[in-house]
Amino acid sequence: MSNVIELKNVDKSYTNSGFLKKTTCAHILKNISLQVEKGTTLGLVGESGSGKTTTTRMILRQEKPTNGELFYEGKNVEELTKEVEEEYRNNVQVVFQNPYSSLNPKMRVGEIIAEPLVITGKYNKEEIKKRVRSIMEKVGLAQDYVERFPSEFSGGQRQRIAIARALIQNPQLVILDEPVSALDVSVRGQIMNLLKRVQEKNKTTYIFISHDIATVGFLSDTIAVMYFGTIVEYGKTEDILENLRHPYTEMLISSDSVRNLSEAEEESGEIPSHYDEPKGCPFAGRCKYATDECRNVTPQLKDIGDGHKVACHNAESITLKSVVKINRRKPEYQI
Amino acid sequence: MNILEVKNLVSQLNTEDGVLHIINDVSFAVKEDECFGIIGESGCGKTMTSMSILGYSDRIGLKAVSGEILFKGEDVLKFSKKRLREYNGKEAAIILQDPMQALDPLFTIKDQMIETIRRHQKVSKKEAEKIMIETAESLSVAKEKLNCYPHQLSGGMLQRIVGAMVLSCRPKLIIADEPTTALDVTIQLQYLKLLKRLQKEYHTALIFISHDIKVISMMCDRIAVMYAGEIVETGTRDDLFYHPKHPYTQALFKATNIDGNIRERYETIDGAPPNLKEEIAGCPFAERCQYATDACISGKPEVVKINDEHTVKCRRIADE
Repeated sequence: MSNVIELKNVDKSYTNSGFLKKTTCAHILKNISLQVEKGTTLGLVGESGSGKTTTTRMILRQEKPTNGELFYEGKNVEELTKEVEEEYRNNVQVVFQNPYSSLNPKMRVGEIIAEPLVITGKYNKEEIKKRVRSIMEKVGLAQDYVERFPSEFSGGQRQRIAIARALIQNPQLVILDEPVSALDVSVRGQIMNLLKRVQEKNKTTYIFISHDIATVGFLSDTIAVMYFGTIVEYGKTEDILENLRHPYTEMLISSDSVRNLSEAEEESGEIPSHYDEPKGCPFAGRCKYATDECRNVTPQLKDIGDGHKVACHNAESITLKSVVKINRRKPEYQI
Repeated sequence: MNILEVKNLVSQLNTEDGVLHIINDVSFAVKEDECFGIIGESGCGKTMTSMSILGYSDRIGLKAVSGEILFKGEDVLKFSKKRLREYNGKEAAIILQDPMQALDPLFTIKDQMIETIRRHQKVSKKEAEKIMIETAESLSVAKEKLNCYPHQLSGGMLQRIVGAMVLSCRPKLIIADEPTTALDVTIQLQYLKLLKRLQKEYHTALIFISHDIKVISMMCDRIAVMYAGEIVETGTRDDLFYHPKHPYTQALFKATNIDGNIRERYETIDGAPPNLKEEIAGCPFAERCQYATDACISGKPEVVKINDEHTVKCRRIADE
């Protein structure tokens, strides 16, 4: 299988300088390497501030990596010719978290969905109309919505509009940046099912970002767990959810599955500051398994077999529990 | 003893496009020392109900058509401006969803907390500072953090500070309106635990509003399920979790995927909530309900009592 996108040792840092002020440097991403195979979904999980969005901004070419390289179908994106660059931008699309701010309130739904096609300048009006109609049908929007404005729709419908806009050019890769976090539970399922159906049909590649490990697990084939700008665990969905090896992954999964407050474990510590980086493992301050080695030596991402990578000194010595089961069966009842 | 009783509240919002029927015949009671949960999707009237309880309805243009909100026997809807000023903050207070919006970015946490304390209690600056440090400690906010500006602190810390601010005036009723939605899952648990502990310690009643069933089930003793401005089911946590009666409650629970396991497809509720511009003649959920009959669409269902705490508004249950 070929990789649509590959990140090789990508670093990103921002410097903060000012008049008569000491220049400080924040390393937001550290040594990120990821591959996304064609037709599969990569899930990025982590708390806010872990670098999920910065990674995708790099892929969308809104930011340039400080170090490291980005490959699109095996070609370095920095060296793309003008034509391929254009193709790249058409082929990589994004759906944002908040459909209330990602749609222009003064444009009609039809115009919003058609805009990517209009910009390319390759299609005539009839063709554009035809494609808008067919994509709207695919994502479950009625045809007469074309003339309406985004303000007339609910969150779920707006997210469908945003998805239609991202899909209209038949992109290779769609980046889904928390597409369901702003939606209600009853609508969330509809959108998730839609995304899955589209992928099964069109073989689209997804990068799915979320802080909720259950939603990520639903769609993803591989998952990268991010913490403080590094990947701490990376592997197949089954490996990450059922055979996890990193304490942070355990914390993410278990805090999502607690049903009784007395079950919740007392924890201390916060995410460290990027301007004042701790020595050793960035998670050591919050980790209940931390040893002296953890506090002094930064762990590297190591392969522990079958492409399952973990950045933890104690990965082999500690036993972690998983509470999530993957049960890919069709629902029995439909409401 | 009930600290708060909402009785047959009907409220409307006048907009340019006409009248919106926001709250339709809502009744519930909150006991002292209890944590009462209101769950529902966006637009179902959760926040509007809490605003009415705080007496803010006039300010946001919400008009109470009928019904009453009794706080210790006094009708909040009839409060004078002066009485309302006493009531807000001192007797009933709210924790909002986004702590960044609740705090002023131009003042330090300390300034803002002291201002709040002195606004409601007749104390000197020094005493106010003492109260501030006391409550901040009980919420495990370090003293040094009090000298910071809001932008210097994380969301979880800010939400705790807002909690400290609210608790510093020792209100009898706290409304927490989706207080954890803006927080990360890992931080969320810590915060909920803290809130629950303080609610017990300070003996306040807590109305916890959320769209997240997991969070509600962890926090609340009794829960009300709201849909399109109506409370469709009320009951204790166990009633609702193990024996949900209303089709909407059942559908909501299935859609939430409570066990956290990963499936091939998500369960969904087809359709969308009704438009509140028109008065709904029948059951608001009828359009999306698989059991709906003609009678459901044409007439309001009666409230059926299943046990002392558990009530449900559904014709199907009434018929049984």
